Amino acid sequence: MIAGTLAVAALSWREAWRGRLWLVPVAGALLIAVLAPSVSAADPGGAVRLLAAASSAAAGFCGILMAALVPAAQLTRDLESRIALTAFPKPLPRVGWLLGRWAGAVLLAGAAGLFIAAAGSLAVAWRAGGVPEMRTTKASGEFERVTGLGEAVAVPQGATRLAGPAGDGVRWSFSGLDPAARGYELLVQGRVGSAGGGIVESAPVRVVALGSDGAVVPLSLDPASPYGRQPPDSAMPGANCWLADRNADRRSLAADWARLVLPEGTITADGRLVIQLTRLDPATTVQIQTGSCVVAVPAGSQPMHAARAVLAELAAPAVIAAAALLVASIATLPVALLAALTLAFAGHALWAVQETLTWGDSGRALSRLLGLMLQGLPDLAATGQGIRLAASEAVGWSQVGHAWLGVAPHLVVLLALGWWALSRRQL
Amino acid sequence: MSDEVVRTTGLAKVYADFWGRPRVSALEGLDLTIAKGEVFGLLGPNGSGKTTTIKLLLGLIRPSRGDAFVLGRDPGDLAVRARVGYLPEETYLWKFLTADETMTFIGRLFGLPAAEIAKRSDRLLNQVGLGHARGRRLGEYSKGMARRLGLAQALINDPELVILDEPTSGLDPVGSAEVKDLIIALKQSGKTVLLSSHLLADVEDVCDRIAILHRGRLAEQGRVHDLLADDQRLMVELQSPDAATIAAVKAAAGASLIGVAPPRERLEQRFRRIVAKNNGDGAR
Repeated sequence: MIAGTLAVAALSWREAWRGRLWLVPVAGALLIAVLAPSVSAADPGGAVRLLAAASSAAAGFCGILMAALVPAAQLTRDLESRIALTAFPKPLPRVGWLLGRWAGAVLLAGAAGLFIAAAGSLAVAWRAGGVPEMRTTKASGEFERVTGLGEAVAVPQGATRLAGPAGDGVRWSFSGLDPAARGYELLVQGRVGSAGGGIVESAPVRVVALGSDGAVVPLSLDPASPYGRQPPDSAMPGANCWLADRNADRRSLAADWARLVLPEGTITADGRLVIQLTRLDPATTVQIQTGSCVVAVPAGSQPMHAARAVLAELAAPAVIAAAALLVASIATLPVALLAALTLAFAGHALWAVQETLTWGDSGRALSRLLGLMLQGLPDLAATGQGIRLAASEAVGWSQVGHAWLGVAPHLVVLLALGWWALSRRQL
Repeated sequence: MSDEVVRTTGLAKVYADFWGRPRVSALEGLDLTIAKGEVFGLLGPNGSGKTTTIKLLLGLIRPSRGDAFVLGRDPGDLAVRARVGYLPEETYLWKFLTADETMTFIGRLFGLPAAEIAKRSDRLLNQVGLGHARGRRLGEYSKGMARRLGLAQALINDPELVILDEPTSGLDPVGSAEVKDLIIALKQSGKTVLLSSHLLADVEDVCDRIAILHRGRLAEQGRVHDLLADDQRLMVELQSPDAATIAAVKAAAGASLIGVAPPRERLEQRFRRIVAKNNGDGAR
């Protein structure tokens, strides 16, 4: 059955190609090419982030459009133009035909997404002046507050506010790091305020690595880090980093975190690293939490991550294609398209459904309906990777697997129902 | 029993609507047997149940009552489908594919190796007269060319049972004659052919046995020779008779004589002869 299914998938591909469906991804790539020079943002890295997010969104949208249109159109044509009379008596079970049409649509959506992602990567590299590096992050295992007297205090709630006399700080402990690895960076961010109620743009801090023998190794700011630099006309002895106000939503690893270089030898032989941040200016307050300091590990250049992002985002078109095939097995093309596009929009708007339910001012029946939607529909927005790409965060195979596992139950149910419907279809 | 390629007993089909309510009874109590190596004709007016019978034998639809066996097994069995070739009433194929690509795709559905597909495709496309047009897309094909390709795809798996629904539909007389020659060749190579056609002359020319359906019921079944035999009349053929011989025959026949006339050539034979002659002239 596999050979026959692959033959049907190849047929879908050829049908779409000769139907000039390649114009869709080409249009998407052209749109990015047109956008690339004109995108502007408040900070220099903003345009790059916008382009990365826009190309990811374009790839995802193109994939969804193709997943809704292609399989529905192809299967309804098979059935309504009676091609099925030629094809279905062959020794390929109808489930093989259905899976072939589905696989063909997913392959098309994936290829279109990869094409647009490649165009997006080119645009990003052009605006960034080179191919950006992506990073994976490792969170700390332990987080403590350190008083001005050097006493370590546990922070059970995971966040603390440094205020009052200077010299207090926080300490993060990392484990499981590779002592032989090169290129590790330490990323730090925090919320900054004024102790006196005025406006403060940044707070000077000192960030050091503590060796197991008690040695203190001051870390230096990466010259390429736009965040954390000393402001003009400011000086603070001992400061190696100036934290500007950033909340957790500002997540660009390249632009929203101070990037400090971790010299060799700061990671112990057993893979441990202890980092201490000390507030230096009593006029400032710094709010720090467990996740305000991470170790960034180089994860390669952006295009590979953009490609993996497409594979992760392909989970959404896969579900939509399965839904389109199910409806196309029992209804006409317009009905199948309507169903597929409705699922696409609803699946991307579950957060809005959740918010509506949270407000609690919907009627009982509507609330019940929205509750059923939340339980029954796949959360297609969860497969999006645009934010990660824009934040220079690595998109690993775990993200790909997580996205597909998230939609797997819906995929299995939709394909099984499609098989049942197609096998009952009278020709 | 092992010689039975097709057997139906009490086969019936009632088409239902979306909700499962009976809508129309297309076939009622069909008992049919087709032996190995036979060319069997299925005749009947429109709506008589011919296509429904074929769909049941192909496993495309399930019977409402009764049983159908093809090559000794359920028609929906994939192993059975691998041994059956089918040409639908109209040629439903993919217009964006070339003839070569169509044959390759169909061959892959049968799980044939690529080399075998190429070999069979080459032979069959030449056999149906499409060797010169194999690289053209089907959208550019005439109805007759598409029909020939439909026939070729039905034979890609070297089937034991070939089901042909109106195989000469859309073909010119030469094409029709070639299809009939092909059916006879299939019979000679031991294949079983189930032929459904409105063109009674075609059926008469090639079929060993026929069944006539009317309003979903079997109206008549038997050998063509037996069904068409007329015991009440006798035909005498003479080669270049002179007037005396004719007079003697008339005298011998007496009052039972119906008529004396030279034999007439069938229009199809004459057409084929003229086309063949002109093709020969053109070649010279």
